[in-house]
Amino acid sequence: MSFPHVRTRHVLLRALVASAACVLSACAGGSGDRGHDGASAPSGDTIETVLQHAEAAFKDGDYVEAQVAYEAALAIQPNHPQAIVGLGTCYLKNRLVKKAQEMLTGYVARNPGNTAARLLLARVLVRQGQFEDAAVELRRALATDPDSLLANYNLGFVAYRTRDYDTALVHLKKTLALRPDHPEAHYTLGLTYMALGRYDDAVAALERATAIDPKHVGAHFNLARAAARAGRMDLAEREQKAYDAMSGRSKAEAERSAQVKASSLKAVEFLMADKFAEALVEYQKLLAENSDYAPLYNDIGRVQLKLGQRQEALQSLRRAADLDPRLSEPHYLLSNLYMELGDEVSSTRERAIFTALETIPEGKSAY
Amino acid sequence: MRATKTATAATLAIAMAAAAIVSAALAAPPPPATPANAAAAAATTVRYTAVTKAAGIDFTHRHGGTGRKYYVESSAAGVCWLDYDGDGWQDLYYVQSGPLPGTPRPPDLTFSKLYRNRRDGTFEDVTARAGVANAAGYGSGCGVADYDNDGDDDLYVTNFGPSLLYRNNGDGTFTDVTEAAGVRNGLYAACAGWADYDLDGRPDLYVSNYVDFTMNDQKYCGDLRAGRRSYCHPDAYEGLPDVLYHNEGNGRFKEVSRAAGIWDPLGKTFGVVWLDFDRDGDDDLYVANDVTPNRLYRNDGNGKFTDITLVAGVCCSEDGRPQSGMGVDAGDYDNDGWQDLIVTNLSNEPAELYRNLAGKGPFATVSYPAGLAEPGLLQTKWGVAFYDFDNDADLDVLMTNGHPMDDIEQVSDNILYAQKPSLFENDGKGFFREIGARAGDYFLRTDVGRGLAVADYDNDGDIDFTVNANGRPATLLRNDGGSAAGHWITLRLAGTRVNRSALGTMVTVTAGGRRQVREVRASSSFMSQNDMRLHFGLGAATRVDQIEVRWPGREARIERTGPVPADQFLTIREGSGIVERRAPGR
Repeated sequence: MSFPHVRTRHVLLRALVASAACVLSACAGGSGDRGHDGASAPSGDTIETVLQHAEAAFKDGDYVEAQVAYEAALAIQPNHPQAIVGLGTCYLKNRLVKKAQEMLTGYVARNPGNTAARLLLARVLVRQGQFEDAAVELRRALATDPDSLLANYNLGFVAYRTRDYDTALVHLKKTLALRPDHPEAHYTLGLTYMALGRYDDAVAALERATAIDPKHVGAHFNLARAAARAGRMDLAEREQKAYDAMSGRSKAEAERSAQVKASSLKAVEFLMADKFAEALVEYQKLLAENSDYAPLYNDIGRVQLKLGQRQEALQSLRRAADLDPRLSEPHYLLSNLYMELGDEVSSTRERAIFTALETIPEGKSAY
Repeated sequence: MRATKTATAATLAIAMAAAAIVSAALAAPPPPATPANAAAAAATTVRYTAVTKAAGIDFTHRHGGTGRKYYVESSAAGVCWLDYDGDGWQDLYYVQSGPLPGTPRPPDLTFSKLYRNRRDGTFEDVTARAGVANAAGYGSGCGVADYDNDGDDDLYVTNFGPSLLYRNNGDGTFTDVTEAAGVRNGLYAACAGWADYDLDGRPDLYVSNYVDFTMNDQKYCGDLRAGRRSYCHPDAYEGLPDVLYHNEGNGRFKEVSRAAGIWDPLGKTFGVVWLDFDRDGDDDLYVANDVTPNRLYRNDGNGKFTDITLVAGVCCSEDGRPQSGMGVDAGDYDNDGWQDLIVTNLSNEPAELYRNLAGKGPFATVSYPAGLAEPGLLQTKWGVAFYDFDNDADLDVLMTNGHPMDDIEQVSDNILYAQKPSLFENDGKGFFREIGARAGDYFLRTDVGRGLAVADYDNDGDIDFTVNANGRPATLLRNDGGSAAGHWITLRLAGTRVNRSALGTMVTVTAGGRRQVREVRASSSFMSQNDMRLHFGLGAATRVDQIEVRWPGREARIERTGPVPADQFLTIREGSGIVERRAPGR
């Protein structure tokens, strides 16, 4: 069986998991910890097929489906190393951190030589705020594979975080011996030197990080600080500007937003007081000088909806969506509006766009 | 970054030039901090006992949630200590939020409450008599100062919508003077910070505004496919400019935000703290922003401020990324005489500790090396206080925790909605160890903590605290054992030429060979305010060798007194020295 279009994968995989689970329970008298090497799922899919599908879903960013697929793979072949690591990564992406920890802890106890799984466990432990435990796992990984780039870098990073600066220096330098152009290793080395008060060394390491990765926000930010402490004011100012230019919104965008926001305070106050007509007048005044500013059309559309001006709202919201395709709010409002107008197809389309835009990626501002 | 708030090249040059004076002290790394020396200092005998009911506190916060997940529900509310009747005992004001504007009023409606301290460990609800219920507002926070210099504490209450200024009439009642004073604000306000920034002897008012959410701008956030509606991420709304009101001295205030150089229309500000970080005699301003960069405004001494955030390195995480700034406090945790900063953030972000490197060059971000980061990584931290809970002559850290999303457990298996509070003990060498589990049952329970304020409400020489939790009963925690663990002294400062509340006054206490510096300030934490008296733990020292008071002003005016015995409350009046001494419990 080959997996067809991505939209149908989810259902097929669920069926696969159900049948695989059956194999492992009363249906087959199996045990969850017993291998099924070479076994195929009842549907005829092989472990390779399922893993291929899991990886494809993962690459698409569909971590829920990838998780289901990896679980299916493990149902076919428990302890499959690639599936274990893939599933653990999906758990992390899907914020199932404890579940990942539980699975990986059990797995590395049974398979102490699997460096990839141990490295992932260390990453999970960092997510749990358990840095000392992560360091233990990383040392074990290095015992198996002393030249592991990831193990060396991660141990250097964790050692820096836990104030073990000597260890950090050793493993970050080892990382750079293995890969001299590793920007994160140069960066973390720079932070370590800063913590030790070695500002000239910090500047050198951070300059190297920015040379390798000119868009490294943290490296520019810290290079400015290290240079200031080293008394190199020209460099500090230059790096400050580089950081300023690349952090947050673009300067022009920020200035525009600030200007519109400052001018729309009166409208916001009217909205707070349920004075929609007055708010609309205020917003429309702003359009004269900001006729290409998407959020303004969204604000106007919202107020027009409050005033029952549906056709006008439709136009405003469409304009907002056209001007800034990343803005999710107009699509939600349009979806509702189309539904009211009886256009179910358009409503569904807008809702789908809204849902896609609203998906919060892992780690977005810590949510 | 925005041009309006970015330091100019000239400013940068000046600030950087200061950084050029990098001394040996600056070149030194942060204080040695190892778990080993932390463990040696860790055994505390102090316990906190929840005495809420016994003390007569029956306040329950209500966010007014209807299930539609209006954004404003998830953040509030604050709590303030004040001495509204001037009897030397701290009274308590809890801010109420719900019901939401435009929603039906429940039959058991309750408002904000003022509790008078009966001086016997209990409080009485005097809200109705005092007239400070804030009945029409959806409350966020509060701030206290004697803005009219008539000798009593006045109260500003921030709301989602028009905020309120209550002038203390001096007879146990207050009058709403908002309109006459011109401090209505009208936006979604969070914190209120009082300070006399222009040193004219009159406290001015800074009001932080959060985002442009209105009840008529409710967005859908969450998972449409699963039908799970959640509170929105702050990215869903735009920020708002904060407001600086200059006290004109005639009962009126003038909005001077732009003229003063404090203008960030996109900032999503929660926490506010005034501090004299450069020790030049006037208060500078630091604000904690949610998902936008925090800001440090240096007071230029001419009624204007310069945004030196980037130069000072206090905008963001160690990696230069804005975080979810909630609460904030300032204090000299390493006893080097310079005010440091702490900012609370969301889960998966550390509470950031910014160490002031003697006013020279950028602050150092030391959250991880100081031990404050890891133990709280999974917690969303709000209220925060630097204070010495065990009287061992260094500042410890207390935080309230709880996630803003009440359905977070549906989307994450390692982050809880209700979370345990955190108490970090300072080992005296710059390292903190989380010791809540040994400091009383309250620290073993989960809560949805928001507002936090500390005070010695029973005047026994150690610091108690209270928490206003989102949608839950408030808790009052009594410190048992703090005054036995170490000696102490508590100072009330009273200005005569400077503002009566003495805001901005720096006090250095020398005892047992150690020097500690504290500043009199109003707002801090999250939407809250601490006891404005200065409490110093003295450890084993039974006397204070010297008290040095630097009254606010560009030209240093210093008064010294001492030695004085430890374990007492002193009132020091500008120009008159010690004018009142009180024993504990009096």
